[in-house]
Amino acid sequence: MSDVWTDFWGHLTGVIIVVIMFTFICIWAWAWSGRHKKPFDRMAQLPMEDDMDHYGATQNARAKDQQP
Amino acid sequence: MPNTEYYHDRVVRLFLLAAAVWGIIGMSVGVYAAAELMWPALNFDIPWLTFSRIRPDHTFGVIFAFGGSALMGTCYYVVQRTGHTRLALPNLALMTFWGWQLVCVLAMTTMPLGITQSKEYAEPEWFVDILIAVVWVSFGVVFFATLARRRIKHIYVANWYYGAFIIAVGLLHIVNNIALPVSLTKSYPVYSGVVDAMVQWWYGHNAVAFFLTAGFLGMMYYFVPRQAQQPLWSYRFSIVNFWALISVYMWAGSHHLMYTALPDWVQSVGMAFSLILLMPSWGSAANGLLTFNGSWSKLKTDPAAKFMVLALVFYAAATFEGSMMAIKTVNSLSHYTDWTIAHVHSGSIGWVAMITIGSLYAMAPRALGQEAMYSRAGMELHFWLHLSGLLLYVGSMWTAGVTEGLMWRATNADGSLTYSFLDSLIAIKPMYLIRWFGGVLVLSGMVVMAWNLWHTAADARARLIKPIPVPIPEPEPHQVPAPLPAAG
Repeated sequence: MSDVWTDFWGHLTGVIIVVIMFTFICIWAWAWSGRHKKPFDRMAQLPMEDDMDHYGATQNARAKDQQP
Repeated sequence: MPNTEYYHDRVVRLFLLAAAVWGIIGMSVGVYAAAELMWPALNFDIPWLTFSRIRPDHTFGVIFAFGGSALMGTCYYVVQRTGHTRLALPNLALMTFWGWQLVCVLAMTTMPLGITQSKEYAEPEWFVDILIAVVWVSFGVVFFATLARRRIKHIYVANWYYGAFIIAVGLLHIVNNIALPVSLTKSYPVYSGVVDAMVQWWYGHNAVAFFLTAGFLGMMYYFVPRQAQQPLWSYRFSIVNFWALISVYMWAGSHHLMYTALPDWVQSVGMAFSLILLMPSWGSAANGLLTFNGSWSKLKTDPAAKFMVLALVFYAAATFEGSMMAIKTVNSLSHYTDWTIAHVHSGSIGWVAMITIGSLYAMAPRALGQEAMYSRAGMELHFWLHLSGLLLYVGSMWTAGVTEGLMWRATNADGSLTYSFLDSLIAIKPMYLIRWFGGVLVLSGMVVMAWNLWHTAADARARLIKPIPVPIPEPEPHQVPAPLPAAG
């Protein structure tokens, strides 16, 4: 009986390790996927916009962002 | 423009003021407690003035009153700026400010009177705990309601950390404080024995993880790029670090209970997770430091940037030290010695206080309608006071800790102890003097900061500053949730 349980726990921890590793790799893939490049680059600019004083200045920054 | 909404910065300014005041109060209590260890007569035999009674006032004062006010203030600032929206529910936000101040006053007046649960970092009794839970849930409601009305589709990474901080701290606080009140001032926890110890350190360690790390990383991920005037070294890397950090930290708490009645395998789990934790910790530290690549020259001119860079260096150092101390063999030397005190202060004075001070110096002029802080020389002075105080503090406590560890384990050939406990106390006495002096320097720096903030806030006090309009971006196609109209 105890052997069955030892085996069961062994398999369970094995499965959990595989699931967690797979999740971790998926997070990397999600973060590095091409379709996130543009929004993430836009996100990365957000902290710098706070120094620009007014609405107009931010609008100009956005216009610059949108140039190819 | 008629249809403009404005950032709601009043509550931010209130929290800024509270952080400066609580910083001085919390650190003054700490300096006094350090003085009592050096000159024990300073407790004057008054019960509420003894070390054991004022020590929780110091920890609560700096962590929850000073740190908490700074976290809530910067959180309200950052979530508005990164979402291009004003704060949702501004009245509830104001309630969280007054509620949190009430919590701090109640906790810090009841604890010295001996009204305590005796759970480290969770000392306040049940009636304060309920108030904390109410304020905390309201804080969460304001934060997530503001996120929900954001005008930018993606959620900036700093908000992920603030969000994790709010959810996890709420969960930890409520679970750890489940207790049965037997009177207004006394309750008993529902847990007992080793389960109580494990729940307490699951809470205690994650208070470090989600209050003192995730929250302040939220600050770091916004104010470091802003001060460096460069985007994060790698935005994508910050996301991987986020998930790694929050999934690993939860399991490391048992490293506080090495060589106790806790089952051995649980201790080993805590040790293993603490070692893995080094990777996401260094990942965030590296990401922050590399963000300064190309603008290192700012360190010559900008004291706020200096605070941030040193904060990240100490974050890396303290997390490395923490992982090492979680190894059982190292822990057998370090545990119950002043090494632990050195570690927690290199984390709190080094990482937490320095990233907070850097961020407050970055945020304050903007929130107070000024171009810059009132006195740059004052910031510079604060930096050097803080840094020298920090180095004296951790240097002396490291020395004291290793001395104690080695003396306590030394045995003679016949197996008896080489030194009595008193021998070790006498050996470390000079270190206690240096530690006290280090604390005095850090506290003086905080007074300089308060003076500087007071002058920077002159226009705000005279109600001369104008609210800052929210930049309303062009709506993105297929934005979820749908963008809000310009009128707030």
